[in-house]
Amino acid sequence: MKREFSLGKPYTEKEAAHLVDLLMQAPGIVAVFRGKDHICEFINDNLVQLMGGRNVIGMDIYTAFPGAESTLKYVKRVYETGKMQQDREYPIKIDWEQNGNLREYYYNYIFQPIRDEDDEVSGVMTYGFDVTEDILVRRRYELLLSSMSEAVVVTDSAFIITHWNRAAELLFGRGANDAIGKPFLEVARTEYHSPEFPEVSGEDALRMLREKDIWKGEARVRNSAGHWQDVIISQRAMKEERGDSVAGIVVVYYDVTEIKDFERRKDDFIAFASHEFKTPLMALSMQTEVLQYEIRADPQKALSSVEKIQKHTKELSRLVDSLLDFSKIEVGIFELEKKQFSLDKLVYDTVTLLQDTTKTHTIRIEGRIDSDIYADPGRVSQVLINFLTNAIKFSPQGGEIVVSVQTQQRGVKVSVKDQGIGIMPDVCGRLFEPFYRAEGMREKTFPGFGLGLAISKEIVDKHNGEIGVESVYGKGSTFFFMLPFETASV
Amino acid sequence: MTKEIAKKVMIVDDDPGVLEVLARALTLHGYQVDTSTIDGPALVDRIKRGDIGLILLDIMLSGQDGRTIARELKNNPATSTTPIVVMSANPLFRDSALKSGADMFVEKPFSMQDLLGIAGTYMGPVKE
Repeated sequence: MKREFSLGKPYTEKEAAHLVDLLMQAPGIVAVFRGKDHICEFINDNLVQLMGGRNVIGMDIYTAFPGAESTLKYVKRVYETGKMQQDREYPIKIDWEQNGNLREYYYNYIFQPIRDEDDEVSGVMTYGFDVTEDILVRRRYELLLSSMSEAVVVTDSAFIITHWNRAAELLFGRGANDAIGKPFLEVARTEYHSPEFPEVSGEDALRMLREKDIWKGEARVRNSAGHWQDVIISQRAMKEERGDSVAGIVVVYYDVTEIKDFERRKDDFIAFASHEFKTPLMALSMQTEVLQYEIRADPQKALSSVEKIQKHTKELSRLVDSLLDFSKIEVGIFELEKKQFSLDKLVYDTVTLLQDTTKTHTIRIEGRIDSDIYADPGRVSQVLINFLTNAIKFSPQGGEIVVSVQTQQRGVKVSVKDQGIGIMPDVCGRLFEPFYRAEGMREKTFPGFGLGLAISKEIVDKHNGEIGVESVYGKGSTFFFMLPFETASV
Repeated sequence: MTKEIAKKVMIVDDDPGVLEVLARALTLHGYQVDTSTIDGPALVDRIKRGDIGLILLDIMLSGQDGRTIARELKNNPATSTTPIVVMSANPLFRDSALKSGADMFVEKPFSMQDLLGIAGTYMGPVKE
């Protein structure tokens, strides 16, 4: 087949030269390999520059491009099969600016068979163009997805997963390799629930997406280990710029496990707080009524009722104080009033105060430090009161409670050891979180705000000290705090 | 006709202040009272003695649930006939308290009049 330039006329020499010139200046890379040995017949300026100015015309492809195995493979295949091939995103390092800095570029190549007059494949032409910019944009977008703390899953129009970011891997416990290419409903196991749609199946959620474009709500997702996790889902249909067809969906999962956990603890708190307030209120109001009778019938006893009323009032104001302390911590205005005082005396006074509240427990003091410390005495006493009331509360059968005071290398340490119910090892650290109640406590109905230890921790932290607990479940606990010398001593 | 022994009101609460004032309020009005802080099994044995005419039982006891104690008492033939009034600050416990076998639920705080009403209902009026 004779190639013609235009109007059925064969090329003139001038026209052919012009064509070669155009190819020479073509954007991207152009090369022609002739014959079964793939001899370099034509290399455009860009490729010459890429080769560092080396003249490879007349050489076979193996000599001209040693190491370019992918190119060799495609040229060979196209020559043998006569079918066009593409090599996408092929990385090459080039010093285009010729300043000695190699930079990585990505090229897409097209390998096209050249046919002679008898329609036989006589060579291969390669055209390569720079797609580096596209790749960088895509990488940036992939980086963005993988850096998101929210799990993101994207599907195509048939709801087959196309993107599955790092957070999705963590949420579902399934790698991207194991998710991409699979049906969304099968892989992203989700239980939808919202006030609007109490029981929405995955299928329903997808159907609604076609109608409403967006679905937002609470859900639970199941990970590969079978555990359900609370999330808020925002599911959105991706629409093509032109037309209404759905190109796929994008789903973002916000992990709300912690928020839910906090809400549960807050609900518990309200129940327990009402109990805490109503108990002294009950005693207070009834005592007032008793007092009314006594004033008339038994004035001798009235004085004792008045004392009890005062005691219950103190109890109530202590409760209000602990709530106020906690809100001060929350807004960051919790301050210490440090001064010099005797820790030994403070421990003695506090123990005496608490011993008066119980008949079934014996509180014993072990050790002393004999010197003054520099700290906030009111707050230190508050921590000790909290430890002691816990020790009393959580050893309902009674028993001995030992308060030990020690001078240590770095500071002074006070610990309170009880023979109570003890604490499971896995919850020891969490006890100092606000509103926290150890597992099973709800059933066991130990009253309290769940704030005492959180407030104690804040007090000790403010002194740059340490607070902690050691416990053997079923055998009792030892709560301790340490106030360092730097701040604790004078 | 056998002479009836004057029965007592048993108050079970882990708060000593509440325990004391409820006992005082009832004795002021002529009732005989016994009190207990906790310990379910010992309580069952105590009720078995047969001199208790009414149990006022708190729910949130240190380490024990009043509803569990109520269930035990009601399931034991020796104590099942003794009326139990469950007291709690949490009104949400009403249903579960009644389900546990309690005869009545009363929300804390309640007044002296409420208390005397309850005692009157289950113990009858006090002889002057």
